[in-house]
Amino acid sequence: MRTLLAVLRKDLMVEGRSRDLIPAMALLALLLLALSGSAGIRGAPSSIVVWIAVVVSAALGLTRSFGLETDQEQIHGLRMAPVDPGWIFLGKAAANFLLVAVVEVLALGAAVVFLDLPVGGRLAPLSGVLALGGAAIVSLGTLLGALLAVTRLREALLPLLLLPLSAPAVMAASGATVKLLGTRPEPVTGEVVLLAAFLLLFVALGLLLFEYVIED
Amino acid sequence: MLPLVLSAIALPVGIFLALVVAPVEAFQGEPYRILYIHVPSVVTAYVGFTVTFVASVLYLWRRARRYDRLAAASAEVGQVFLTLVLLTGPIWGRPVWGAWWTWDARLTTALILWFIFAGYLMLRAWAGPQGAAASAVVAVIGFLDIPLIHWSAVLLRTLHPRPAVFRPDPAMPGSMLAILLFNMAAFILTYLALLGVRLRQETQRARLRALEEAA
Repeated sequence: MRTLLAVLRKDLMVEGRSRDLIPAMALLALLLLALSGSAGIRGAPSSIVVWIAVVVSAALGLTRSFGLETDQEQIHGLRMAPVDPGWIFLGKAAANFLLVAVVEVLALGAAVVFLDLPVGGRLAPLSGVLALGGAAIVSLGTLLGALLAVTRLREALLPLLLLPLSAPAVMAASGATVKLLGTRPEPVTGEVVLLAAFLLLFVALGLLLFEYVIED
Repeated sequence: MLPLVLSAIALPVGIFLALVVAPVEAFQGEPYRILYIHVPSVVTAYVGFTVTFVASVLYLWRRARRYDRLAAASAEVGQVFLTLVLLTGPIWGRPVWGAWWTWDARLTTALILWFIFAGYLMLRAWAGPQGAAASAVVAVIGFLDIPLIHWSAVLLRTLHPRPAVFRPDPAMPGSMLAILLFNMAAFILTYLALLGVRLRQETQRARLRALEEAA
């Protein structure tokens, strides 16, 4: 647990000083939403645009986040630390989740303005779906980002892998968002269970495989 | 060698049986015959990805290069068959459903799986031999993702014909079923033959590299 908090604190401190990731991620998300709005996409079905903006900007942020880690060889420090690599994974994932959460809030606000997303009165369940969906995407993305950066592979591949692999989470999250914001809100139990299962699977895989991922 | 010879004989026989011998289907008419290619392809593709998954787990566990080569070869051949699935499906769907494509659960799953393994093969191509562990992790993730993709697509909708073969009482006349099973065997033989060729190539390449490094 102390490892988790230490890694989280380190990542947030780095971001706080360099302000490297949030502006780039936010710009990309806003750009995607503005372009969709200008193409005439409106109302509840435009939820998918919000989720595409979230997952694409997450891919950008994750690429850069792990790029920073390997540029100056900090990753060797993490690898040599006498701690369970599982906690390092959770710490990185927690930091990435906070970045994605900031982008989600911005994207949601922009969607209300640009796409007429009718969030009125559904904000509480909607934030639940945003948190769960964001966590699901980040759990997978942290594993993939570490994998591509640490093994010195082309990080440019991250979107090509993250988008199809996170498809179930993106589909369920945007499906739930559409249902919540529709004219007659429907229960979203199925979607929430799926998102939770996705999150559990990739947190488990992260804990199990992170060791292999950073050892090369 | 044996799988190559056998599949070279079995494939044309299977196509002949499908096009000439099999009876015509009562509701769909002639277009239904594409099922004799479509269904064996999808079964073979999933066999290929399952082999990739098992080989990747073995690679992460044992770190023997031969598992990495098996995973790579099987994914490549599996992807060829999955491409065949995605090409034959719309050809059948157009006359029978009246649409090239629908976002049915099975179609969605197959398409996203195709994207996942396209990314996987791209990773392998860009990373070379250094990417073995990363590729293995991606293969494991991708394979475990399949049920989730299917589940998320089912949450939306489903139109695909229900499985007619893999259940206790196959919903198909014996004459059709026999030809379908023959074609499945022929396709899996072809998979084995292509897998053998790719494995031999990769093994030779690894030996060549070792010799070059020793020299």
